[in-house]
Amino acid sequence: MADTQKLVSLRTCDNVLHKVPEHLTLQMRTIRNLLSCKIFSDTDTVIPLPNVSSQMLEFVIKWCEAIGPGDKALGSMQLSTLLTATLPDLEESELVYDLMKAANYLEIESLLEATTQHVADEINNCNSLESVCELFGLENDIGPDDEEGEWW
Amino acid sequence: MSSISAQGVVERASAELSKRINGLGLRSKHHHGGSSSSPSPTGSNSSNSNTATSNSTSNVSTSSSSSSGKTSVMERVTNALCGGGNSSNSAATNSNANVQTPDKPSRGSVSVGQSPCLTAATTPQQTQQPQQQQQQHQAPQQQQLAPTSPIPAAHHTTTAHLMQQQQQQQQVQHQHHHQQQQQQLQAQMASSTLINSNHHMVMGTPTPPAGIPLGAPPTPTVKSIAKQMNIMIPGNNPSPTFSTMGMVAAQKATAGGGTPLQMRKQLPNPHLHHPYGMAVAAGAPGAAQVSQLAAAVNQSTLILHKHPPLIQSIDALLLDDRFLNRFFQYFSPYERRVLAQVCIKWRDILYRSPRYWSGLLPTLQCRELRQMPGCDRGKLYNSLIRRGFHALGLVGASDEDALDVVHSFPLASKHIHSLSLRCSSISDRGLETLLDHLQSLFELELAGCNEVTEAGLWACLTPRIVSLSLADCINIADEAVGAVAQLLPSLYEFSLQAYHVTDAALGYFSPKQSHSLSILRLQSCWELTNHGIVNIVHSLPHLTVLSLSGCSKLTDDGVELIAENLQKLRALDLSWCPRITDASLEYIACDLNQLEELTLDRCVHITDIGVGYISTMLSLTALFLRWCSQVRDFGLQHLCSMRNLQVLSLAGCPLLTSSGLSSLIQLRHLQELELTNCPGASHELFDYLKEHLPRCLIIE
Repeated sequence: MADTQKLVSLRTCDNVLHKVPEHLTLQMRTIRNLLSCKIFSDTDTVIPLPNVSSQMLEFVIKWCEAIGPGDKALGSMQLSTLLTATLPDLEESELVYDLMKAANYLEIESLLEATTQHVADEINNCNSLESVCELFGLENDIGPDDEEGEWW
Repeated sequence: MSSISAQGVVERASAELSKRINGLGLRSKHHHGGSSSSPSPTGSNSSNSNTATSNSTSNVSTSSSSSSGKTSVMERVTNALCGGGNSSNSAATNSNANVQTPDKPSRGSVSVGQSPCLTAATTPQQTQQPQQQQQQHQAPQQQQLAPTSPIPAAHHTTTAHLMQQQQQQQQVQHQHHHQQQQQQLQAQMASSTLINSNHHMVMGTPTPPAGIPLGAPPTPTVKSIAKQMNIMIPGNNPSPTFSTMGMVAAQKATAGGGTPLQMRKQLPNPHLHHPYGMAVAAGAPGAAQVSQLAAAVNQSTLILHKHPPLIQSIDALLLDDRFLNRFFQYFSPYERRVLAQVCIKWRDILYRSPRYWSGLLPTLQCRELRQMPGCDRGKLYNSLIRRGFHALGLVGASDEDALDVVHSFPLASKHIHSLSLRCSSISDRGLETLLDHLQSLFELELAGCNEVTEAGLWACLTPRIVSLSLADCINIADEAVGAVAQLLPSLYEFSLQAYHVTDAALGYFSPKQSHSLSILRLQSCWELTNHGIVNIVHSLPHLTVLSLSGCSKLTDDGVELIAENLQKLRALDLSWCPRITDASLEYIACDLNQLEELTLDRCVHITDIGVGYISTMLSLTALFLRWCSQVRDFGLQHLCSMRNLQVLSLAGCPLLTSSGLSSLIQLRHLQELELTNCPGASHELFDYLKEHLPRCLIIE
């Protein structure tokens, strides 16, 4: 357990097997929980990640490396900046949503905070309710005769 | 619509599975007592002492969706593979039941592109606070094998999701039938414990429902289950790599009785005509995922209840309670009000907790309020309380509106602590009635209420009020201050903006207020002179915040009085007082030792000398020198010695240059620096500042 070179096998949804150093996976609460179960022996366990793609996992690994092992309490703005610094090609693409999904599943606190902050900023850039709905593909299903109308 | 289809699919799938499992003869009547095999709709799980939980599970099934039945099936399967005991079943059931507390039927309508099964199965787990997860905790702590319900649920999510994507035809009428089958299956699975599968290495040929030896169920393997569900295990490896006890046992068993390949061949072919089966076959990548999950299910004997739900799509993510609870924390309350209108799901989550709405003042436009029917108004008022608001703002309120609040908003008397009336034509009468009604009110703001007279104030003000703000009300003058001084003994904060208030008004303040009044803001009281200041310092020596913004007759002598007498001042605002010179600053620097915030906007006679005085004040953390047109770079040098400064504004100072401003990097604790309208500030300067003051917000 003290061996930092211990590798954890993760299989992503595109059926690729990744071997990740354990100390990085410790940031992922999901994996950490799984590994803490004594049933798993060291080398044979393959943990599947059915909703994480290889690309996402690579991003996640880069992030975990950037964050480092310490439990530094970074503010969400700082995390967001760190996100854009570590993963520059995330900016223009929609990948940040997938990354958020992956972070949500793997329960990586810091990455979840960074990505949600990013998305929150995006919402704030929306000018109207319709654009918010459009941005996320959500249907505005609040009827007109609902409890109260809009108030502002 | 699509939600129904997904539901139907999963139910059919579970029915199918039940047939398969029956075929494998996994029921074993003699191992568990009584009603285990009776296909009662109540889904008796007699093997465990959890009839209560099983009943609740079945209740959930009937009420929400069939996922509960399906989930338990998967649990059983998993447990079968992983070698547990009755206890594991009970654990599974426990968690199962705990997860699926009766779900709100509304979920079905909300989920976009997601099966209600998923939401039902996983979201209750998440919407309730960790307590529920802790309930699930308890179960695994007792047993070696933790429940795997989240995973199977997620598994079904995956498949259901796929179904939805790929198949549209559903038959709802099978629903009930399927449910019954699931109950039956559940019962049967409960009885088939894994002790059996572990110990009995008999590899009886699993055949279709016809010929299974009853007492000796064959060990189900990953393959067999996968085959039943028509899941293809990816790759060519004959068996996934597990190391769990159960799997090892299963594999040994396999070796004993036949190769996996043989086992697979002997299994009945899954019904190809089954839409579930077809759909899965049709979507190979989906199948791969699913099979991986099946592998995970098999391996993950100890996946804790805390395993997050498997969310496949972003749409699903944005409708997931657990995620949204976090997500909404990234917005200010002001922004959340828009978010609450996006869709029902978001609105429900946001309205559920008052903590999302702190710091927000709901302001109602009375003009539009009048157009609503009365009952709707009542609903609106009540919804404000429901969201945890304690403040109310009314714009354009007339007497009728005030009366309406009194009549339609009974909760206001207990819950409204703060009232703000702006641009309103409310009269004294209306104000009095309103304030009478709001029995818990302690904060009042009147802005632009031109019908309110001083006599009205005499009538309305109650001693409960601790914070009062009067602005831009044409009738407010000295008498009003008199009323305030007389009627409000516990006044803590008083803001007054009235053009006609004279020095005499300030004489009304008596020792009665001297202990309580801490914050006094006299804005744009043009008539105030130094004499008024005399009154202030004598009556209110304990002021901590004083603002004389726009009191243009104020001179250095007045400031001297302030500095000498109001030792406790923490914030002083002398903006727009053009007669203030450097001498004032000297007084301030000498005497106001606790001053933290100093505002000198538009004090055009302040020069570098004055800035030099200020810079000796170590207690200052915020300094505003906007439009102090005589401040030069030399003055900046002085500022740089103020190590505690956190907020600095030099906006609109035309004589500052980039080289001078660059020395500001010495202020290491600076958090906000405002340099708008500084002609001397170049782009390079801003870059330079940002580089050297990384934690500082630089406002261009």
